Parts: sequence; structure tokens; C-alpha cells
Amino acid sequence: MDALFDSICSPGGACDVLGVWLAALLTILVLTYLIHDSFLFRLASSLLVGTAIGFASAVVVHRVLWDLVVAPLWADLPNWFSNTWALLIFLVFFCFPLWLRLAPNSRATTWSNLGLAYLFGIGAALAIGGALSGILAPQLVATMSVSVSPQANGWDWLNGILIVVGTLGAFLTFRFIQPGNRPWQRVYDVITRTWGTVGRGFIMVAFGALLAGLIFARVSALVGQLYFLIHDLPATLFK
Amino acid sequence: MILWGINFGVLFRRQILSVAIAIGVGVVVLLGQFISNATLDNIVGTLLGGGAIVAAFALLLGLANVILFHTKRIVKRDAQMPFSILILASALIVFLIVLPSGGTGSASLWVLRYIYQPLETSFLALLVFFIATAVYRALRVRTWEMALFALSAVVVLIGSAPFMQIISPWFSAAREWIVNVPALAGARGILLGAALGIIATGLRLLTGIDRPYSE
Repeated sequence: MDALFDSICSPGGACDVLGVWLAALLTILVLTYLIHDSFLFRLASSLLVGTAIGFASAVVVHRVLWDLVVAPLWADLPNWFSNTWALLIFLVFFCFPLWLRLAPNSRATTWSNLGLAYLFGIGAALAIGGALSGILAPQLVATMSVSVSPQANGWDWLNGILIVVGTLGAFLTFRFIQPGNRPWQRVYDVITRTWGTVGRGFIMVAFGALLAGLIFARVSALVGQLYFLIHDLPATLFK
Repeated sequence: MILWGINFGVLFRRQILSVAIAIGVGVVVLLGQFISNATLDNIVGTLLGGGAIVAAFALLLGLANVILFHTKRIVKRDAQMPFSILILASALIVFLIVLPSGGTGSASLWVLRYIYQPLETSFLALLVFFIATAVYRALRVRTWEMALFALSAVVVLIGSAPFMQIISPWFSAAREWIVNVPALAGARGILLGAALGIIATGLRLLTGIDRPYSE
């Protein structure tokens, strides 16, 4: 397919010009939503879904199913799968039964649970490891290494205190524990609840900053698409 | 079904086999992340390779479901039939173009550059208007939290604009301070909470308390 494409399309040739036109048309189709949720917008969204499905499935089939399943089995076929029998058993017990899910209410779908259990087991283990080493430990270390010593620069010291207070406060916002009846438990509850309220302010500031970043990125994307329509497209047209 | 003296029917019905597989595979992979051992690394590598294959089959199952759904729509001559035809046709054409190279060939890159990327970027750009509407609705709730939220968003937005640095360096400094101190603290607290939540959920799965695969 690529050899055929390369023989027809040279870099910077007609295919690229056609591509720019197609990209401009698709951009306009999507932006028609600003006027009305029309047939053209749905056409563009359907095309996006179809393209994404086709691309993802082709990459998965080529990279995983062909390279890791079909190619080894095909190479081992003359030996009657003497080296790939474990892969065959794995496919029979964990992979093919997943397709039984397409037949709803079938008792055989219980078989498909084996594959899902395998996937969930791996997912949970990777999630725990990732959360521990990728989020929890680095964030704790970063919070604990903040300088709160009064000897430091006054402004840095204040910022350090704010970071520690804000981090703990934001964390305490998600505390949903009923207080006990003992006096110290009630005092503890009042302290953590108040601190959590302060933390909610820090969370809102974080959300505001995140929203601003999001708006900035989206506006940049919009400006980029409009620039493409106003600048790149005429440049291609009048080249 | 009794095989080698083991009643597999009971094991399946009571989900014992599924739970055992989830716990066994999960614990081994978890140990592999914290213990450095050549044999264990090999086992974990094999398990992860198997996981990639199962995930690929699961993804194809999802895709098959999409194809079935749209085929049913076409057969029923639903009002949305033209869109279903377009989805299936474009998926098939792109699949045939991308499959030989696995996504790295010149034809695949052409599809990515001139069809997928413009569509995706335009949809992301369209989100600006949805975000603006959502912010307007949110700001109608007059609480001190929303005031902080709006103030932070406005200062960071204004401080990020390049021309504002020429007008006044104060906005840029204020943006830097908000991003590096209060927003950092808030985000860090959220991340710590989320990490603990992920660990708790994962442990519930690995101990068999939660069994989403058997529902």
C-alpha cells in the first residue's frame, strides 16, 4: 500500500495539495457547529469516529495480533506448535472466550471472565505500582523537601508554609470520617474540618489555574486552525 | 465438568478460578515492580505480554460491538443510517490503508496528517465555546470558592498572554506565584488523595473484595 502511495504521491506534490484541501474542508465542517448542529458537523464527527476506529484496530492487529500471535504460531506450524503450545493454551482460555461476550445472556460468557480477570489483575498491580512510585512517593518527597525554616528568605519561607498547609488542607478536604464521641475526637474533627475548608480554597485555586491552562490550549488550537484556513490554504491555492 | 478430579463447573460458577487468576497474576506483577530478580522479571515480562494480547482481543471485541451496532442501524434503515455507513466505510478504508505498515508508512501518515489531525484539532478548538458556557454557568453560583476559582483563572489567563508582560510585569509574576504556590499545593493534595484512592481500589481488586470481571 505504501509503495503504491509513494509511486503516486511525491512529497509536496498533488497528494499534499489534495490533503491540505481535505483538511480545510474537514475543519470547516467541524466549525459549522458554531452556526448550527447540522448534517455537516455530524458528517465530520462520524468521519472522526470511523478514522479513529480504523487506525486503532489496524495498529493493534499489526503490532499485537500479527507480531505476538499470528507470526509465532505460523512460524511454528511445521513443528505442530511444539514451541508455542503455551501461547495456544493462553489464547484458548483467556482470549477467544472474550468473544463470547457478543452473545448476551449465554452461560458460556462465564468463560470470558478468565480473560477479564487476567486483565484486571495486571491493571490493578500496575496501577498500585504506578500510584506508589509515580505519584505518592514523589509528591510526598516534594512536599517534605519544601523549606519551612525561618532562616530562609522571608518570602520563600511564607511560600513554603503555604504549600505545606495547602497540600495537607487539600488532602483533608477528602476526609469523610464520622467523629467519635470522645472530647479529643471531636476537637480533632473540628481541626481537620477547618483545615479541610482552607484546603478547599487551595483546590479551587488549582482548578482555576488548570481551567486557564485548558482555555489557553484550546484557544491556541482554534487560532491554529483559523490560521491554517486563512494563511496556509490560500498559500497552497496560489502557489 | 470434572477433569483430573477437579470440578471445573463449580469453580466457574462460583468465580473461584477468575478470582484466583486476578489475585495470582496481580500479586506476581506487583512483586515484580518492587523486587529486582531476573527470574521474576522474566515471569512478569511474559505476563505483561499476555496482558497486551488479552487487551488487544478486548479492544477488537469493542470494535466488533461498534460494527454490529452500526450494521443493525443500517439494516433497520434508521434515520442515522448515513452516518453509520460513513463510520463503517471510513473505518474499513483506513484499516486497509494502515494495516500493512502498522501506522508508520507514508499512506498512514497522510491519513493521520490530513484527516485525523485536522478533525481532532478542530473538535478540541470547538471546546473553547463549551468551556466558556460552563464557566459562565459556574460563576453564577456566588460562593467564596467560586470567587477564588474565578480570580485564579483570570489571573493565570491574563498572566499567560504574551502582550501582558509588556503592559505590566505584575500579571506575569502573579501568575507564576499562583501556579507555583497555591495551585501547586491544591493539585498536590488532590494527587495524594487520588493516589491513595488508586492504591485502595487496586488492593480491593487484588484481595478479591471487588470483582468487576465477574459481573
